[in-house]
Amino acid sequence: MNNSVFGRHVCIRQLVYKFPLTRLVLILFFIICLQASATGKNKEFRKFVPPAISTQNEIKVTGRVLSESGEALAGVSIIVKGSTKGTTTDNTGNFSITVPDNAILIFSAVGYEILEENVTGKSILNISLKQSSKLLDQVVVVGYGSARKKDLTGSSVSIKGADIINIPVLTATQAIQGKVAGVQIINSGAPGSAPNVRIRGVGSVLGGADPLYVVDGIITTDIRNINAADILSIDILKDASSTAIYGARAANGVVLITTKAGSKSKFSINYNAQVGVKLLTHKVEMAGPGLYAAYSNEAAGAPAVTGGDVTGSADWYDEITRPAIFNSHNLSLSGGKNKYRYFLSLGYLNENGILLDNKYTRYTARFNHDFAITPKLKIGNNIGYSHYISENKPYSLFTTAYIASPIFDAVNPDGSFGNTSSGVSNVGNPYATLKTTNDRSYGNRLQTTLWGEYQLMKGLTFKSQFGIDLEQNNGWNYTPAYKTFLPGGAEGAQFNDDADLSFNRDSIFQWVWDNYITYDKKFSTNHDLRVTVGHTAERRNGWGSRALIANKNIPANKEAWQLNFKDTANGQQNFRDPIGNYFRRESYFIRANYKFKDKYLLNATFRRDANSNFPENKRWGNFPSIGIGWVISNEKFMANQSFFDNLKLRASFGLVGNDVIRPGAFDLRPQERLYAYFGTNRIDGAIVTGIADPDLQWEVVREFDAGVEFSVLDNKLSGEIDFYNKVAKDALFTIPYASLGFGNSFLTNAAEIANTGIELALQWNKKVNTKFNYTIRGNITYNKNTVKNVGIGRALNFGSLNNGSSATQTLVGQPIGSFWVYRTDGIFQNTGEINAYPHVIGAVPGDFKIVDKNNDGIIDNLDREHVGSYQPKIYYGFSSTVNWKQFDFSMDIVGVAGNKVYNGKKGIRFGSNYNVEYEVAKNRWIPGSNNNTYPGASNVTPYPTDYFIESGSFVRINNITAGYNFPASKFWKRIERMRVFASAQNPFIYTKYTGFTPELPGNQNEAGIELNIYPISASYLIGVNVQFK
Amino acid sequence: MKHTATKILLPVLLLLMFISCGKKFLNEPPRGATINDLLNNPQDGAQRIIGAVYNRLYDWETHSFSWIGITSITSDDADKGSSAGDGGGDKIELDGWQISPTNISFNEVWEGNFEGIGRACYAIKFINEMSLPPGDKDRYIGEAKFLRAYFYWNLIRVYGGVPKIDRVLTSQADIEAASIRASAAEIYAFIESDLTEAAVKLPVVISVNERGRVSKAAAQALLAKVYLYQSKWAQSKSMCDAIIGSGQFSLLNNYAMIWREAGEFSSESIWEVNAIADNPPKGIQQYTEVQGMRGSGAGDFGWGFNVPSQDLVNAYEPGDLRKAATILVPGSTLWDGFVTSNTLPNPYYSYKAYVSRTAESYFDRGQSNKNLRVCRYGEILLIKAEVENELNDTTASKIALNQLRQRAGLAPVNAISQASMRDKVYKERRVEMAFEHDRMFDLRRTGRAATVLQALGKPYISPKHNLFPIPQRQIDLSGNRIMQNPGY
Repeated sequence: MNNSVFGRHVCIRQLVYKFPLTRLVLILFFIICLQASATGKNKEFRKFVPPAISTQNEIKVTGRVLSESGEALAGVSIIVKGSTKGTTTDNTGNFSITVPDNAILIFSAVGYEILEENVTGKSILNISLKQSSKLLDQVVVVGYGSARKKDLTGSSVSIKGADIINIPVLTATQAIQGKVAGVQIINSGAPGSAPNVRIRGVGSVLGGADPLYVVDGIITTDIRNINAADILSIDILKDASSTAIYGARAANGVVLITTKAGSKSKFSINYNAQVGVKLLTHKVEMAGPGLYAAYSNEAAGAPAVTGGDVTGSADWYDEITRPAIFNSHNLSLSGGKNKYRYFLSLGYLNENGILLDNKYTRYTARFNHDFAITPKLKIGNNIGYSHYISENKPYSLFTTAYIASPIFDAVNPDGSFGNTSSGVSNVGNPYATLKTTNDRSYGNRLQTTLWGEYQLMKGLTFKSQFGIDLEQNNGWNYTPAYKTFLPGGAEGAQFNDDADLSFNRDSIFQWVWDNYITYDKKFSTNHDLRVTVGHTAERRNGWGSRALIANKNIPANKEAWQLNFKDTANGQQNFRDPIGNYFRRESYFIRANYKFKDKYLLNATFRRDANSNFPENKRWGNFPSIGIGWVISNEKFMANQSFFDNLKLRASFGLVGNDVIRPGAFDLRPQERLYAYFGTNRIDGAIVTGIADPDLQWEVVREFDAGVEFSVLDNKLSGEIDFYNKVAKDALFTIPYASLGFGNSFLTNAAEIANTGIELALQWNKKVNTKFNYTIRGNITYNKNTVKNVGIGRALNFGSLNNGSSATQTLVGQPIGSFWVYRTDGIFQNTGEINAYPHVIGAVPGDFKIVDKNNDGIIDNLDREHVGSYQPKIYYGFSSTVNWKQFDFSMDIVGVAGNKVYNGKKGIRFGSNYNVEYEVAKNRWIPGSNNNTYPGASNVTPYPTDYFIESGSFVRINNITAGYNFPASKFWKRIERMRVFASAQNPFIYTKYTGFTPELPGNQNEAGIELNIYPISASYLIGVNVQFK
Repeated sequence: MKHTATKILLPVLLLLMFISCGKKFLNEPPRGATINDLLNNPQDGAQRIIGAVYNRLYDWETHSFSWIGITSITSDDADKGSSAGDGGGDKIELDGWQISPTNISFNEVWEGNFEGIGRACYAIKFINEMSLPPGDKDRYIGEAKFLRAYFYWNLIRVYGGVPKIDRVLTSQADIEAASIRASAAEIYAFIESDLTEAAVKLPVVISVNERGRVSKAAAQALLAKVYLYQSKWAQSKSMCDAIIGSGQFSLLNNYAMIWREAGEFSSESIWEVNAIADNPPKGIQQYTEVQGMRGSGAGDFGWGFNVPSQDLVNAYEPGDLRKAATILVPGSTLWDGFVTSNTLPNPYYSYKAYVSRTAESYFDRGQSNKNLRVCRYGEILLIKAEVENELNDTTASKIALNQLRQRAGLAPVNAISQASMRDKVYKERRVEMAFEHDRMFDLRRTGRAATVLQALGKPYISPKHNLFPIPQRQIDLSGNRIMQNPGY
């Protein structure tokens, strides 16, 4: 096994110069390196020749450069003021230089303030550099390296780990909701769930829409295993100039996560804890027994619910929800000595859901360490481990509780489950369903990288990193035998004869090996060049299996399952074939960042990607990007103004891909397990079906971005404005056709999808005095999503309403997943009105007048209209922090506008006497009421009309936090810092939406429908941060 | 020293960087079966391929709720059943003849049968490509053609002419070209040609461990009925005579036994869909559950759809043993000793869909042991009686019919005229074949649908309702290439 992983497939077997482009790049690179090496030598040579006219004394100065936190700084540039002479610090921060004894040394490093130091005869200089507060000096992670933000021509945003550490989230991306322009985060209230992250709109109909995540170099799609407290920074790459380095996987944007490293000179222990409670907000009030009976009888036109039927009065939402406690604890230890640094952390997170008995627990451990073997050779290793246990309950209970009759009790006086499936209603007892669902998933994930970095020569570094991602997910789902009972003791209609048990196990093994060289060189004073060139290979093996034991006498005690499971005579073992997801990728990449006179920037990136999922002739793709920038504030003509501290224009264009396509979609594979019996022999039928496109290819998105970055008023106000246009020219789309025995659609590259938008981000920093400072940040994004073309395809319908109809359509001229409904024009007050107006068969007074849009006298699909989509036109966020003496306050606001939601729950009532909302029942149309708002009582499946469409706009306070920092002196001297805080998450929301929550995650074609949605809750918590030294 | 090291290391590392693992690295072998795994292993492969065609007979779309709705709930034999409010999707509309092209049943039956046709076309193509002993190959081809004809037989009776698919379609252009309705005559000719070929290639005897597979007699029986529907009396008669003359089949003494597990593959059986409730089960999906008694607790057998109408109950002559075997009356004790509740929401249930939990093999409600008796000798006698009468041999007609009446405990018929004999055959056919998915088509075939259903107050309009609508979804998917039936 191991042999096959490391030996056979990643063989250093062949030097293949297959591709002319790669060859060219390589040759150019060689030339550059050799030249650089030559000039480097000359310089060094010059260094050893003292100027002939010098009359000063030369002394040798040695020393070390550290950051404020005591970390050694490598690569710090040290220049003798007024000359070209200089050096840089090595990996341990040490330097040595021979200078005149009265020289002034200028120390500069990316991300730090420039420091001038007089030598004045000192032979040892230990320097501490202050971190720069200027945004433009910020160092950002860019993929296979890092760069100063001011040198980049792309649009990216960096968020510090410290900004999210106190927000109670499982997934780090949840915490950045509303904080980044161009990034929409749609959270779910379900414990253990990951949010939908949409960077600059939805770019694909049938491919993936989620961004790519890169955790310390490991490429993944799920970051729920990463403890937010371990994160040093999150860098979000938004345009082609920044994402093209990830080529075929970058079309939905890239989220780079860097975890913390140790500090060489400073030992510290950090402990963070939070405990809080989550509460269901905006509970929808349902009709009680009396109103329900009246409504149902009116709907049936006959006594459907009589007094005798009413045996209880359950409020089903109260039965299945609860205030939920959550808590988290993080302990980390970091430090280092000499050439070794380490960071060790343990995390625990326990999140109860507002749905009864629903719980998610995660344990994490991380050990990151690195070691500088020599000043030029550094090795490191990051290990992250996580384990989770999730007690799952069906989200559909939020819908079942909506429709369940309120005339029963959840539990009988004797403690047995009440029966709710009678002649009156056919909805199961939600409480019984909840209590008899024993569904647990649990798993382990180990992510580790091992890397080595070697400085070949000054400015030229080679890095090799090997990463492994091992994931194992398990689950079981046990339904015991159970019964429900009528109040009289008779058995109810809801029961499970015999217990059922299923198991599943999935394991994924993935490795990725990156090799790249970075060359960083300043040629004379005018030219700065930084080139990264490399190769990466990746393999992923995914494997899963399922087993099911149904209708057998399986005990509830899970320790006994093992026995029964082996007992083939009694337990049915229904093992299905393994499910495999295997693929390999190989890529070459190069990036060049060139800067002329600190004013003109050029970034060029090229990646050539191959993916084994695609047919051999379609396997390789090229993804180039180019960006230019102009730092106007560095121009001479700006020297005399003091308004702009920074003003930069930038623009980029590039091609990036989306390869999240079902493996084997281009190939017809037999469908198996099509069982039939011949006598008593079961035949495992197998046959192919459908039509496949043999030329299926990844989606390619053309992205254009233009932006302005500025800071003014002494850097107090800074901001960025971006315009972008993303067009997917060959987006996946299904071409439908009639069902003639070969499926009814096939997948092909047929659609064109565009996202156009404007982003604005502003930040105001004000340090009033040493005791008082504040920051206000705001961002707003406008995005327009349009399906431009679908080839010969037709509109695709999605958005099942669980009542036989669907509510969304993806078609030309509209945003993806547009709501597609009938317009209404009031309510039929009497049969006369019905007869005088086009109507559907069976229309009765009290029904909506459906507008016959095309005036053909028939109400059919041709009368449906597109009335907007779940995608907001605008989304925005504000956050502010205030520090005053020992106190800190912060508040975050998030909002969306211009989106619609479909209140699917309201539309689910048909037949079977489902319950109805209090407002709807109370205000229903009754003959003679002239009511034109709420329809009359009805058992007929409602048409999808604009009645169910509501505004999805909301403004919500996401977070209010107040903290107190204890003065250091009052505590035990080992405590360096201690802060206590209290926080409210989502305490207020302003929305017109009448359902639980207008924040509705989902698939890109059918999000925004409230059905089976786990509502967002409000939470209140207290926490503590302690740092020991 | 340093520089030498750099000089050596630089090229080495550059070489390292531009490693490629060769072309083979990207060749990830596909997981799971490929079609070649089937084709290269003909013994097992051919059986699995034909098994996949048989598999369609068990599916929900082909033979379950929608099929029950279209063939039975629409007719005078059955009411919708269940609770008043439970429409089962579109069953209120079907029962009340508020029929529209968007009713889900029409689309399900369309898709179910066409999917079977597609699989049969693939099976014919693959089996022809495989190297198999000639006898085996003939049999598999015969089975695939039989099943293709059977799926078309279901389609033509529901929709009339439909697109004719006689080969594997491999591109969207193929499908578009095929998305046009053939005439009913073309489809009938296609069915006859497939069945005639199948009758030659299929074996006469099906061994015990192959039960469920089709035989020569099954092809002949289906042909007899296909000819009957086209009033091809002589051809139909010759098929009936071949089956009767083979001496392979005889009526089961106890009519009620035909639908019990103990009556599976009896002397009367010509072809059944072989449902097994052992472990692992394979039943016709929820076939008995949708029709089972809608009770509570141990008395709950299902959803209670498709229940006998009072009109059917009244149609039995006094003393007809078939009545008690067909009509399950709540409150009674069933054949296996189960006492049914007398407070069930419907007055009757279909006894032919009853599955005993104690006296028969039982897995769960969704997958029952209930075989679908598609062709049985009893129906051959009905067809024989009808075609002989149409061919003016009233005596031969009476001989055939009276065998069934005798078994039912009734006196022989003495009709003299061809017309009165015709009525006797029609009437006998109703009670003999109740709840066997025949009645609605039979009413239309004989031109009686409008009269019979209108008498029961149903808004049946002739000729519009003599065919069901083409599903709107299929018309839409075809880009309006497939045309709707008149009147819808």
